[in-house]
Amino acid sequence: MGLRGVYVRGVDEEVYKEVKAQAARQGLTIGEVITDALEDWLKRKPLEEDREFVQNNLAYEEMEKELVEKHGGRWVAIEKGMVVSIADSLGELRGRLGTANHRIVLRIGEIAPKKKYLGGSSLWKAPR
Amino acid sequence: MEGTTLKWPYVDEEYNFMAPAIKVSLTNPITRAHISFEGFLDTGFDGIILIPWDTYLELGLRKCELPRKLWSMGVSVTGEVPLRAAHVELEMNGMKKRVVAETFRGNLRKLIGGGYIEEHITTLNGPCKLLEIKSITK
Repeated sequence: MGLRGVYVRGVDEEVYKEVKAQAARQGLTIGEVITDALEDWLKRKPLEEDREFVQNNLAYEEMEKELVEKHGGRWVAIEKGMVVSIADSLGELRGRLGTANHRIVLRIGEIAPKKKYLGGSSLWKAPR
Repeated sequence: MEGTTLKWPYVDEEYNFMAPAIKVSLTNPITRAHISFEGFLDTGFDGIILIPWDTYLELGLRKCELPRKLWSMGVSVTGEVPLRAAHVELEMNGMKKRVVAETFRGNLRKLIGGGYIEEHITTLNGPCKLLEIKSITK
């Protein structure tokens, strides 16, 4: 594992002081505490994405009929289980989005699922 | 019918043979995250572009994904796999087009499929190891 100094802006000063004090009491360096916290965050992140993935897809499946009937050809964005934007273009939609770990973006009625042949080579991984 | 002819030399596909490949750039239409690579021409893939799972994550395409109900099913000799899909902007030699990029967990391949080249006249010049694409302006 490489060690490097990293300067981080925007850290809450009170939180930092408390972390520094508690780390000192436990004989840990700030670097060790922050690395541990960052690793925890990385582990948690996919879970949030997966939860929002399910939320968004259930919301779409519930609203699909209504979206097709009322908004065919328009762009729709779904975040955290809710439609957050309906727009006439992707550019217009882009300006109205929030922050999310997972988001559905589609043009209503444009894409239909089908079976696609992947080709003989697409799953093949030969040894070098 | 007018158009320009683009030529790319075959590329070593890492499997000890030279294969036709096209240099493309993909851009996430929401975040503008961007990546360029050489995708191998595979007429056996009937989608437009298949990208590695890691590229899909790197471009942040989970944040502009199509609903799972609209994902296509990839069919191969080993079975079927759902293809996660997201809109991207695909650029080839200055020509931009909004397309759907697809992947599946664990995929390592970068393929340009029949869905993309059906809009062009494509020639594989085997003796010269050259891929030629004539883009059509109707």
